[in-house]
Amino acid sequence: MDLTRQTVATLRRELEDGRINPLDIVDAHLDAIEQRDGDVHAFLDVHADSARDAARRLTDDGSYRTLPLGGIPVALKDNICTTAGRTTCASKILEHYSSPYDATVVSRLRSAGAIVIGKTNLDEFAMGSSTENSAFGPSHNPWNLERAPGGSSGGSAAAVAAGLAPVALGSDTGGSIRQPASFCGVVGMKPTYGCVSRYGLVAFASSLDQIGPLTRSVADAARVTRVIAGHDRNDSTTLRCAMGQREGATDADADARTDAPLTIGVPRSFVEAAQHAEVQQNFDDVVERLSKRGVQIVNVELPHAEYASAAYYVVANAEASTNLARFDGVRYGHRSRNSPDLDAMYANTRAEGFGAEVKRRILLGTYVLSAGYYDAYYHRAMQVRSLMIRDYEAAFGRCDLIATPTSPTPAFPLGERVDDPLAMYLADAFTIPVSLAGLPAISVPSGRADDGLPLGFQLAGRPCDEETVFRGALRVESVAGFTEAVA
Amino acid sequence: MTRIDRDTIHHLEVLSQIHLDDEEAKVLGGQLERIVAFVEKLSHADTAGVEPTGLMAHDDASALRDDTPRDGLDREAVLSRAPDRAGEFFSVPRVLGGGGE
Amino acid sequence: MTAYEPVIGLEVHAQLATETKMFCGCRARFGAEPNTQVCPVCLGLPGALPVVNARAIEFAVRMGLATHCTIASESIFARKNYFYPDCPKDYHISQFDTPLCRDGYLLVDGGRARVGITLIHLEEDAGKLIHPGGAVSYVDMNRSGVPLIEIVSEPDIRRACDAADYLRRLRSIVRYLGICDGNMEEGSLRCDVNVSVRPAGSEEFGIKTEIKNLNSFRQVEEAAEFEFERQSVLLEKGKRVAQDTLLWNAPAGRAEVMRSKEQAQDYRYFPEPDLRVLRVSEATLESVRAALPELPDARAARFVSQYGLPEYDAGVLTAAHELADYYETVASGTDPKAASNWVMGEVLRELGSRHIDIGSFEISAAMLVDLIEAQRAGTVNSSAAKKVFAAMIESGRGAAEVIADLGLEQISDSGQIEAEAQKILQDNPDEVAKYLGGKENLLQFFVGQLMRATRGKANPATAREMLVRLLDARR
Repeated sequence: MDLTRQTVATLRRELEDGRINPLDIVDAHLDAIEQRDGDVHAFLDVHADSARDAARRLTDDGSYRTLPLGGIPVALKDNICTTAGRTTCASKILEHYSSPYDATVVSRLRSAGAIVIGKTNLDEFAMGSSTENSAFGPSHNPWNLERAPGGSSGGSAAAVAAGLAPVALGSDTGGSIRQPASFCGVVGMKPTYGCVSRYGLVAFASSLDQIGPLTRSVADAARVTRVIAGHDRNDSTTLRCAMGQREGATDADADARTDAPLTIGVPRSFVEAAQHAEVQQNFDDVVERLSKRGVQIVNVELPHAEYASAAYYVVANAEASTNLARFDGVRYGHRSRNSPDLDAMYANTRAEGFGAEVKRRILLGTYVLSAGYYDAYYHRAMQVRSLMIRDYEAAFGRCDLIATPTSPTPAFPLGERVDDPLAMYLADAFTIPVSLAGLPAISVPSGRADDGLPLGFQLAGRPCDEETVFRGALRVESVAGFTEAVA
Repeated sequence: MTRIDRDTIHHLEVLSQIHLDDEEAKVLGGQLERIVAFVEKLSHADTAGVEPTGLMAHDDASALRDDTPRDGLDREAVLSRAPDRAGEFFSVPRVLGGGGE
Repeated sequence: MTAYEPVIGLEVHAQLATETKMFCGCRARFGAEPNTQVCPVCLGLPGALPVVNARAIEFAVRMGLATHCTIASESIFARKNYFYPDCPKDYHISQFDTPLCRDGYLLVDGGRARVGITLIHLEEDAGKLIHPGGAVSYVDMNRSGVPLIEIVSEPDIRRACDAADYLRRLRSIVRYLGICDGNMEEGSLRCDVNVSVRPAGSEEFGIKTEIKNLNSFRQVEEAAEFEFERQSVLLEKGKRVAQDTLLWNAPAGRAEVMRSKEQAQDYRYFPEPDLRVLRVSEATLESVRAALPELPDARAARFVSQYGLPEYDAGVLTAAHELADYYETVASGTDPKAASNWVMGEVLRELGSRHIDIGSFEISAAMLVDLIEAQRAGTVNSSAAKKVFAAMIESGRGAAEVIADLGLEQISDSGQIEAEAQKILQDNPDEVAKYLGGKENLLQFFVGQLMRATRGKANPATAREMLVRLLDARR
């Protein structure tokens, strides 16, 4: 059995039955990374020694047998703080930074027996849709190395797709887990805002960021989400949500209820805005198959979705502009040398340390918050946010889940959009409205385009209703018949 | 379309403490103009009487902390990460006048 | 020459005496080794998040209730953005358009003037900068994140002395409430003064300047006075007052321009997305209200009615709650007026000359009661009592012991006094003759001699009576 192509569920069965041990799994993945990551560049750091040590420890004390992620290697997006190795956020300003504390999700993973195998590449500070904004080079889509893996969690998606880790964590602000999952043919889940602690996630946009899993199956995504979800006293914005409280719940629950009644709403006019024929075709196809399997399909409206991207780019960048102010060279990270005075030190440190996209977003965020512009942009954006929330509430009065394609296109070529920021922003058209409303949403691989590139199907649910999201996603997974295997 | 001129860019540079050379400033100014034009779409939305949503966490989970001390970070762990330190302190280029607040 | 009036407002920051900081569990103690009370949150490390200290909210609500403010049932925190090395996130979590408390007031000048309190809001303190000289500055983050309340007054103050009085009262209240130790030298109480000037009787406001770096009540008064004069002179000459921020130079006794507010910082306030709406329920309000201690003004009024003290004395005794507690303990053990004389007299004199407070004073309330009772019983006369007082301070011993040791028991025995008196009269025949001839003020001389002869122990009243009787008998 190729240990690098299995789901967590399968690996757990093999471990529990004693056919393999944690070190077998870690070694298999470390070998795969050595062989394949030169081309893919999913990882910024591989924690080979500590992973092996952890695997040995788990093997010795046997605790891995009963823990939900016992012995399972996990890759972490490099904007999640770990005391092991570096946390660079793919930025020169943190190129040599190591965090003195672990993110809450890291502690929870460890308590569940998971083994951190390394940190993955991303767009700098999670700002981007292709990993081309990484200061350390882009990642490559394992399905076609000349294509983008998506972003900003492109490294995490590529790692799972290329068999370098069975699970990766990413972060999603406007689609940064779901869109790369779609590009790379893996499952990507963004929990309800507040479901998973952000303590230790280097902040991009505080009211939008969420950490979530990228996996090979929906059941795996549910398993991991359950491990990392739940109220955290270190994060005031966390909720007491259902996912975090289902102690002892197993995937059997999700499986058992697969055939319960389900109604899926499709915002037709919004979906039709996607111009790509193959994306449309695949989407309609999956909807048809779901309908044949007994899922009710209804039409819903999201009247304000056309303003969602504008609102998102105002809110996200406004928050980001202040979240990134702390990178000033005073207490950690890069500091510019030979500056004549303090102000020059600040200005040069940040000029040297930040890439172009980050600078763009900080300037935009500063602009929309500055005196005279707050009402026209930020205040309005917050109002549009209220309108989006209302639109979804109304739509959920008639359905349990809302479906759209995850991305308007399959993976685009690396280099195609780097010089056109606005073109890059369009990649998030379907994922952004969900983020603004703070809803849980998942991307499930739903087919392949003619050139073999994966396509993704997105389901969004009511706040804190991850259970229904996973239930619907299992249906999509089963009707879509996507065989995940990079050639 | 809103113009983002050199003065505006300069003002933003100062507020966000990022130095841009002339070439960068020109390019970024142009890009910012297009992005601002894009977000200007907001002005077409009918937001009359709509309450803004500023904060996203709405349930009743308690978010207040007990006034009990918790262990922080060891000083060496902190200062070893500093780009410049002077013994027990962070060191920065001299602060002139009264700056800040 | 136009008559001008100053229009003065104060912005006071009080550091709350909580165990931990505003948004993290680091200790908020003053004076620790540099950079030892720090964590990811108050250092602004990547990925750190703030969590609100419940006790800081309670303390702020106490202050709001004590100053008759309206407490907002919902308020939000806001980010105030600026770059500075003592500001670890390069933004400061504060409150902007929704302060926790609004529209209160404080009475000054013996209750004759009312100063409005515009708002009280919560924020976090910055770290400390040290300038050792040369091309560098040092940063200590211990203080970063300590909870502060900012108390902003309406520009209702019209005299420099009232500005100092307002600050004194604020300090007294925060100490009564137990929410702040009010120490201006250590920086737990900080004050900026805003001054503008206008022709007396005008309703318009002039341009205001802000004066910082004030470290005592006296400096507050001097600075307000200085700025009033400076602006008046400018206006009289037809010149414009610039909207400056000034630093008070105490040794020089003048304010110097720090920066012109014309280039004001754009703080780009917006709601803090990492925190929830701050809710204060009716139940919380009621429980804080119920637990409020008796405040200075109410206590002073009670001293007037309960102990029959004059307003002025009641005011002095209640300015600091520890002193008021001390007084009440003494008053409950002896005559309240005698207690007041002693506390306002000898005790305050002692505290003042040694720059200590009542907490460090050697004579406890119970010990003072003993001394006062001894004097009232006639065991010692008043001048002996003062000697006993001094000896009690020096030795730390009780009144009875000291009186016995020093042999200061008052001589009241009329036989003894008569004997001494006779001797005085015999020894001073000329003075006796002059007294009998009409120089009646020589009685003081005889009393003085008698006191000297008895080494101050004679009961002065008895001595006086005796001398008069004996002198009269010689007519």
